[in-house]
Amino acid sequence: MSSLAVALTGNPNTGKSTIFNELTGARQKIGNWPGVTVDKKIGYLSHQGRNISVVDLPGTYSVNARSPEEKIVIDYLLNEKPDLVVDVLDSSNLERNLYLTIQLLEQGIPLLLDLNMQDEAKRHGIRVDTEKLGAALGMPVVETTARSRSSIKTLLDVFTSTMMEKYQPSEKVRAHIARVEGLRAGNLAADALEEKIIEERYAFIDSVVSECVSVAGASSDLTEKIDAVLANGWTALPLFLVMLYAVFQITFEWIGQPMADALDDFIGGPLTESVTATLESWEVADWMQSLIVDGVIGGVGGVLTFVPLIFVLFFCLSFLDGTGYMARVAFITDPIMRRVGLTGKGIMPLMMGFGCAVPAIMGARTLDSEKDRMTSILVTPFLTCGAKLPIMALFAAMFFPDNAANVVFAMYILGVIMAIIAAKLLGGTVFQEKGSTFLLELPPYRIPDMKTVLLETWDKGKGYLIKAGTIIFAMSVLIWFLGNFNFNGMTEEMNESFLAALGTGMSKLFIFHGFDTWEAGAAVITGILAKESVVSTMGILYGVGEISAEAEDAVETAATLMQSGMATAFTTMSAVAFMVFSQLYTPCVTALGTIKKETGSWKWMGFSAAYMFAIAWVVSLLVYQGGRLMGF
Amino acid sequence: MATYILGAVLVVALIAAGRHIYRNFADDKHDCCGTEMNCTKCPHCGK
Amino acid sequence: MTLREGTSGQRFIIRSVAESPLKNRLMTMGLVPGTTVTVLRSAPLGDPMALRVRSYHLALRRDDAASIEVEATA
Repeated sequence: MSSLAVALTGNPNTGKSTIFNELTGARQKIGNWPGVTVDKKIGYLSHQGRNISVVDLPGTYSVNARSPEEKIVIDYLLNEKPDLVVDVLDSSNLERNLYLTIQLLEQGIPLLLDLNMQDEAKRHGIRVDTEKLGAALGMPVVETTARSRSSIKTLLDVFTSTMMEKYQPSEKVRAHIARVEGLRAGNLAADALEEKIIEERYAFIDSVVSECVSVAGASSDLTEKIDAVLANGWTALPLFLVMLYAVFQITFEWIGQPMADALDDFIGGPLTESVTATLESWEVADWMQSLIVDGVIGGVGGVLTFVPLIFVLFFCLSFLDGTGYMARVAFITDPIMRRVGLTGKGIMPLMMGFGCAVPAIMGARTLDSEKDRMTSILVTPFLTCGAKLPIMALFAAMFFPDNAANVVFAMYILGVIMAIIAAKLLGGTVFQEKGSTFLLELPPYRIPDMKTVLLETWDKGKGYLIKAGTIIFAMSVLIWFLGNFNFNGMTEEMNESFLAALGTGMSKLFIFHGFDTWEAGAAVITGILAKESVVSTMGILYGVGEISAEAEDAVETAATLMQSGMATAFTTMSAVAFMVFSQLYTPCVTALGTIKKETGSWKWMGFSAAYMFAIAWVVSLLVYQGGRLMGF
Repeated sequence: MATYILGAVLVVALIAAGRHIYRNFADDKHDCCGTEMNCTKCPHCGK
Repeated sequence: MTLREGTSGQRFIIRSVAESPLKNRLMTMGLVPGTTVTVLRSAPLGDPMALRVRSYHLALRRDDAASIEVEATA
């Protein structure tokens, strides 16, 4: 059985990734291109007795080797020489798409042209004459509609039957290459030469397009109509907020929360009970029972409860991303972002911060100017990442049972506002370099491909599960140990444990915040290692998990909760102060490590840790004392 | 007896967890968005 | 005039693209002399602007659009 190496290349927003996902499904491996943090996606499949490996190259508009992605594409194609290079083109937007094509042909790379998005092109009345296009370029052409099974099948058949050696660039392409060579041989200055070559390429494209593409009765453009509402003037911003609010309602009220509640009931109820009963029957020592039930189930289980919320939230964000709306968000928020010293484009890495600060910090690399990048790195951790989500959800459910989703939404908004304020302050003081730019394609609105959305959701969410099984598990055992031991060995009184001693020290900082208990202090410390640990710590120390076990229904749960240690340790106001503090304080060590790497300096890492702690301390104090003055 | 067995299981699990954390650290990987850099891509700006 | 002054609904033909850090990227994205651009709309506060160029949509800040010399067309 012979194997076949296929590489997919093409512009962004051409449905290239959808084709890749449809071709390979879950049989993909995601790694890194050497030396850069750009995804390297390889998928495997077999068809007609051949093993096919497919590489999804980063989407680029050109291969000038200016950005890491462009360099990856051209280096891979020239050095690795895959058997088949598929150039995925958006049929409704051939002109710009062909730019990459002609650049690759100039490099002598034979291409299989895939005219994708056929359905969309037809809706716009655009007809591409495949035979003429093939003849004009001298390369084989296939038509696909990314989501249709049959066209994926066609594509596979073409993979296994096409002999690229048969194809030679057409006379027209060779003439174009000769003209470009002629320009290079002339004595133009580098800039002027570059400009002439780009014009030459577009002249070539224009002549190809006029030969092969006909537009009949341009039907009304749906994207235009949607944008007239969603991306136009002042209505755009309130609608963005409505959209975000809807995501929160879905996550924290309608779909995610009921699932989380069910899981919580299961972990706190049947699971804990049956484990306890089993351990009893095996006559396991009391301390081991406590370690397993209070430590592992209380700590890891307390975090796992929130997995449904994380998945629902990631699903919503991936879905929105797939529709093309996120580019509009960048467009409509640019005026605001620019006034605080960022760029609208920064909204995309920033939104990733709702998942995790680490990729968001690395994603800031896509920003054009150093100032934008540094500011973005330093303010991203203010956002509510997936690990802070459980803290917000737990406290909101406990202290605001009737209004949980709104309270969580308010905390998310607080994070965003603090990020904006911090960006403004940093922009006005620390970084003053000018010159950010904004150049962004607004892709057509599309109904996202479910397979792609689900794969993306799983990719992002599974990390949360892995973390729960590794670092959170290890942390839970450690917290249990510190909470049950002191220098004299195991102690009955948690108040005399190592953890109490640590927590007491930390809690001195929060005398005016209303949460100066050692438990809260301990949670703050463990939270720096991983933010989920705040919830684990609470779970272990207050036994939140066990409470619902005793309750029969929601009312009773609330009643038992009110008697629990946690509900008495916090007043409503100090709970809010604690949420605010957790929302804003020092990023977790992983995020700090990423900041160190991305800024290349310990100084910025230390600055980030310290200024966020200080801001969190001050804001939380203001909230608590302000709330008390107002009589809460 | 059961206590020792459970203890051994926990220790093995902890070692596995520790190894994973160390490997992540050594290979410069992060779990938060899957074990790869999947979320760094910026699908829109084409950079 | 330059594209900077363009308002919604106006159509222009690009005359030239002046030197700027963005020049190469603008041209690569298809904004070369002779190309028709239509101003579609503006973000809140009037900036950035959304354009239709070569059958796709592109967003650009007005400051960056100032480097593009254009001529009005029907």
